[in-house]
Amino acid sequence: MSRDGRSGAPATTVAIEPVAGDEVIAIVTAPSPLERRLARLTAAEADVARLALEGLTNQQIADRRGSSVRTVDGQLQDILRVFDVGDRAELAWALVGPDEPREPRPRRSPRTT
Amino acid sequence: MPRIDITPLLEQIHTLDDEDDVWFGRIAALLLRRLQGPVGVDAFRYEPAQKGKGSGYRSTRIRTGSDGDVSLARYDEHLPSELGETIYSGGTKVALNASFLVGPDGRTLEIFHEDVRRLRVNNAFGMACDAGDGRGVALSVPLNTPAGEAALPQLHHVARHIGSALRLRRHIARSPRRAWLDTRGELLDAEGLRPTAALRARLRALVRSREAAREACHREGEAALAMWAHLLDGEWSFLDFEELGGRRRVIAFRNPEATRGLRALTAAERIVVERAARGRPNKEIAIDLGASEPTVANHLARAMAKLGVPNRMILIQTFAALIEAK
Repeated sequence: MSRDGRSGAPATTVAIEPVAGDEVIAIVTAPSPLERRLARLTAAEADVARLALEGLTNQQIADRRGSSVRTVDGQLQDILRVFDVGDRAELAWALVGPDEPREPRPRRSPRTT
Repeated sequence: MPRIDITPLLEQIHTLDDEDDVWFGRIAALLLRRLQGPVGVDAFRYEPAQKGKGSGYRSTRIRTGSDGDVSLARYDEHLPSELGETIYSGGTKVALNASFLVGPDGRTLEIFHEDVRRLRVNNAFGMACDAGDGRGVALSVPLNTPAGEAALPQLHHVARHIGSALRLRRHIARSPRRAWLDTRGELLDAEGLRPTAALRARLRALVRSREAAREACHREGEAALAMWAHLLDGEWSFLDFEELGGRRRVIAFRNPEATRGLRALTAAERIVVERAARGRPNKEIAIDLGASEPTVANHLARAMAKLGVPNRMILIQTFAALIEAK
């Protein structure tokens, strides 16, 4: 059973669900390292990082948090420094990517999907 | 298969003000402009039912003139029946009620589409399209004249278009890019299909109840990886991403077979999107590929539109979730 090595969090699951008529959706659920990694930040920084992950601009983040955009600029710079990355896309990968970045590889047993 | 690009229609619609009646009526009028025949168009809005009066019914009538211009007339009225419908035949109002719909011939009500109900009565063929929120379009054609009978196939044709338009209206966010119907009016594809807030909420509720029930068919690991491959080859499209309680979820929907070719990424788009999904900046990708940065940006934008992913950050998180299985 594939685990992420922590407190028995269930592994990735894929469920195929009929919705309406012949429409079908798939739900992929996977453990996320995000909260664990955000623990390195202050509460305010973590909040900014979460909003950045939604794809919001600094201005939108400032509006959402009721702070000035300059404050957000500064917070984001601090966050980038903590994770030693250059921009928010790299930050996103640092926050949600695999522990050791590597190519995805197939699991052991051959199975058709 | 011939394709009809209805993007110009949607663009015209978006330039109108927020009068919903006008919006829906205009869709119908624009579609009808391509057709000939004595077809009347009504855009309507249901009001909440009033006690003792049946369903309140306020209607805006839109007539298509011979030159296709649209004119408006507004009036208010109440129908006697809770299930009342109103159709028009040659300017004469025909009120329908529930018993009429299931009339003696047994075929007066036919479920045609979740958005489009076709109503057949003695002297007219009418159609009401309901967007599910009390707004809709009604069409009717008189059947007691040769011209009316001749127009019937066209009305069937238009019905499908309007059904598609309503579905598009529900799916597409503020700025539609392009959308295509086939000649039967079925939605073939729309770039940038987006879930509405309501659909998103419905899906998330579904997911939670599903997890609580703990009966999902668990096919982990490679099935998740396969989902990424299916997103790239257009079999599935992205619908939603959510991070909650230490878990993350990707929701995808399976595309109709006809649209998969349109959704599939080209080789260049795949290369760019696989790198961008790992948080790589466009500039680095451009150096890798020996392409210019604007070229990379173009490939990426097209790829994300095909995938249905709203932005780069969600792309990265979606990819990370799907390769989590190791």
